[in-house]
Amino acid sequence: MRFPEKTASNSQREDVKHMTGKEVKDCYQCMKCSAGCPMASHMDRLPHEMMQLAKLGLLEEVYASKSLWICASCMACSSRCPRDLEPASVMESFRVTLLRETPNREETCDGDLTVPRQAMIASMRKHRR
Amino acid sequence: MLSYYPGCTVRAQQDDGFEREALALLASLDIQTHELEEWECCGAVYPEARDEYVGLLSSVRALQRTWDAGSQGMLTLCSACFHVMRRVNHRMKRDEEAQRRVGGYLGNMYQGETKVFHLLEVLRDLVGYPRIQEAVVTPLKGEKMACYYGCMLLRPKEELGLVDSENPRLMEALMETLGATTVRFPYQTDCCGAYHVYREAPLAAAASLKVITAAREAGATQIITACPLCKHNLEACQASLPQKERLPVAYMTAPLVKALGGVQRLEQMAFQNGEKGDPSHAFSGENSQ
Repeated sequence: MRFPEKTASNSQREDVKHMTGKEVKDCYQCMKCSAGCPMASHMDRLPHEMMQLAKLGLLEEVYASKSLWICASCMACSSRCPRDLEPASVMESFRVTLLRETPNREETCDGDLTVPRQAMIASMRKHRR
Repeated sequence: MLSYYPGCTVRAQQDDGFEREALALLASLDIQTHELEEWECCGAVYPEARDEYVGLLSSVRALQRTWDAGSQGMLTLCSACFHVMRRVNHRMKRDEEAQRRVGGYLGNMYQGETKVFHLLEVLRDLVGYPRIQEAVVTPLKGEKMACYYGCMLLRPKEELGLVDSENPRLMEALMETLGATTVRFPYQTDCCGAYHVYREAPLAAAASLKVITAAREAGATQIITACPLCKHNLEACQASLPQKERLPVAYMTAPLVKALGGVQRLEQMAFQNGEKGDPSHAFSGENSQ
């Protein structure tokens, strides 16, 4: 998309900064986050692409990406980022924003109930359902 | 004395022996533990977004209660509990806004005074390897251990500070103390797929299988972990493999207990220790029931 119709407003950029304490615009695309991501092969956009989209303010694409929900917050990217931008926290800030803006989500219990409780609670907290 | 925080998963899966083994082990090594009163779930994930304060509440409550109990610190067995408690504590030490908001809600002023320990850390720092080595009765000869850490014990290193997050050697050192050999394998610090097993099981299985394959190729005869969820994932991903290709998965307490003479012997020793000294010493896995 060469000429995006809509990019992030200043307040949206501020929100990300407020939630993560980091400046996504400092990302210089070294791709270390994507190189070490254990979930990268399942993602439609790699972590460094998500960072780039966030940097460009193309939030619609960020929110439409499956990668947001595939990230398991294992913090491998955050601990290796040479700019200390914590891509895992940036992903979380987008998840949280999206969930906050989606009211009246249906509460379902559609997972495998035989898994350890920690998995159920973590999944429920991450997806708010 | 350490306040023992069981956490939901360890307590719910009591039958797998992690809790019993860990408490018997510590009691036999003269570490006193007492179950924290009225503990509740830590929340399972650390609230990563900085403007979410509700996720901190239950952890702060437990940390405050540990501090009020006047114990040396909080003992956790589950990696996730350790991860969440330690990070919340770290945050409460530094973030004045969090102190104000959480304090306003809970009616206290908690500033991260409590120390949070993981079982591995207690064995390393409070007990020490020489003491463990002395207690070994049947050295683990011929076992080739793959020590899998997972994410929760390691990252972020600045906040957890337990081990080197890229090249952890804690479990290896412990296993070598018992006379076992350890193998180096890639993916030792990679994620097992974590909570994805609940709704996206194939995703978690793919991540776990990578760990298992790497460990097997490195020549391991078993893989050990400190996390109930990692253990579940590492086992579940092997369900479709033929029997002879499966790698046994165990908690890191299992080889320790085995080398130290079995859980019954340890409980007996703990009981004798308790009779000699403080009666509250007697290990107490079922206090809350």
